[in-house]
Order: sequence, then C-alpha cells, then structure tokens
Amino acid sequence: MPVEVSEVSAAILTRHQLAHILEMMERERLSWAEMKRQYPDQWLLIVDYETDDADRLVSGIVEFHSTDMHQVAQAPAQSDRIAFRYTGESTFRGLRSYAHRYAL
Amino acid sequence: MRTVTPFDTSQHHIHTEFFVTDQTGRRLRFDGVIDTGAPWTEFSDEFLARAGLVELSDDEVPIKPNLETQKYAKVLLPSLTICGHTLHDFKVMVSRFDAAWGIAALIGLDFFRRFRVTIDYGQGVLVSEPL
Repeated sequence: MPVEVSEVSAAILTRHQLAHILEMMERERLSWAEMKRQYPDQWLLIVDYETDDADRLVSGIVEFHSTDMHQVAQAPAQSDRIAFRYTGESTFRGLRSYAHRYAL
Repeated sequence: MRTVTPFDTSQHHIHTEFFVTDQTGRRLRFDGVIDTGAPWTEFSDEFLARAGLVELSDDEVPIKPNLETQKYAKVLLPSLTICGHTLHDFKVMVSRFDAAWGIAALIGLDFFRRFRVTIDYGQGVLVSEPL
C-alpha cells in the first residue's frame, strides 16, 4: 500500500515539533509597516523574520507584543531568528549620565 | 571589508540594527542608535538579561526619570555585529533605558574608532571599513 509523503513527514516529527509548525503556520506574517499599524507604540518580539538586500528587517511573525519592554524582553521564543523592535517614535534625545552611586 | 549600511534620514537619530549572540549561541537582533557623542557603547540591561549576559538588579539601581541613560555596570559581549562588522569580547556599559526610547543600545565611539566611517546623509548610508 503506497504511503503518502505527508504521512512520512509527520511520522518523523515529534508531536511537539508538529504542533509548533502548525501554530507558526496559523500565525500571520506581517510586513514591518503592517506591524507598526497593528501594534502602535509597542515593543514586539518578532520571530522568523525576513530581511531585504541591505539586511533590514522587512517582515516576520509577531510572537509577543506589549507596551511593557520588560515583558517583551523576557518573553519566550523558540525560533533561531529573533528580533526586538519598537513601533513608536523614539523619544530619546541624547542625554546620558551615570546612575546615582554608580559612576564608573 | 567595506560595508554600506542604509539608514532612515528622516529619523531624529541614525538608527541601525545589530546582533548580539546570547548564551545559547543564538543571534538576537535589536535596533540601536549611532551616538557619536558617546565615548562608550551602552546597552539596555533588559535585553542583556534576555541574552543571559547580565542579571537584572531592579532594586539596586535608582533611576532618574526620563531623558538620560543610567550606566551602572560593564559587561563583555561575546559577539556583537554592527554594520556587518563582528567584534568579539567587546566591553559595553550596562544601562537602564527608558522603554519609550525604543532602542536597545547606543553605539558609541568605542565601536566606531575601529573603523573608517562615512556618514552620508545624501545617500542615506553609513559606510564603514576596518582601519
């Protein structure tokens, strides 16, 4: 009896790997412009990102998002291609100093 | 190797993406700002903690609100790649960053003094070549 290729592929993946692949397929790949529209002024944990010829991030899957940078920085991700980006306008104005009692 | 890195000339600062290798060997990608007024490169402690390179010490670092980075330690990065150039065991300042800055690092002169660097606003590119 012939065996479907898909059955062979499924057989050599663990249940966990297969679930992860199916979950990733269900999530939507967004362009960077779309991410900025959907998640304004938020920190994003982006996985499986793609880049252009100049190695700029152009698309990916938003694994986690929040206005809380700490939450995003610590959020789990299994991909080997992980990026952290902020969708808002940076308020940084160039001032810097030493933390109190921590002059180095 | 000479590299050409585009940047968005409409932004207030020169933003560039960079990579830090975490303790498991994965390359984490971040956004940073080129800061030619900073002698030292500073990294957000939140993201260094993510890479497993520092431990956060929220209770021990008094932070002034807004405006300024807050340096409080130093750490050696096993691998840092900016503008296509990779440096190993690169020492950076560990700082507390405001979330609204939207960046994970300020790339200072300690990185760029190793290169011949041209900032070309006409073309919107950063050209760099090791000295």
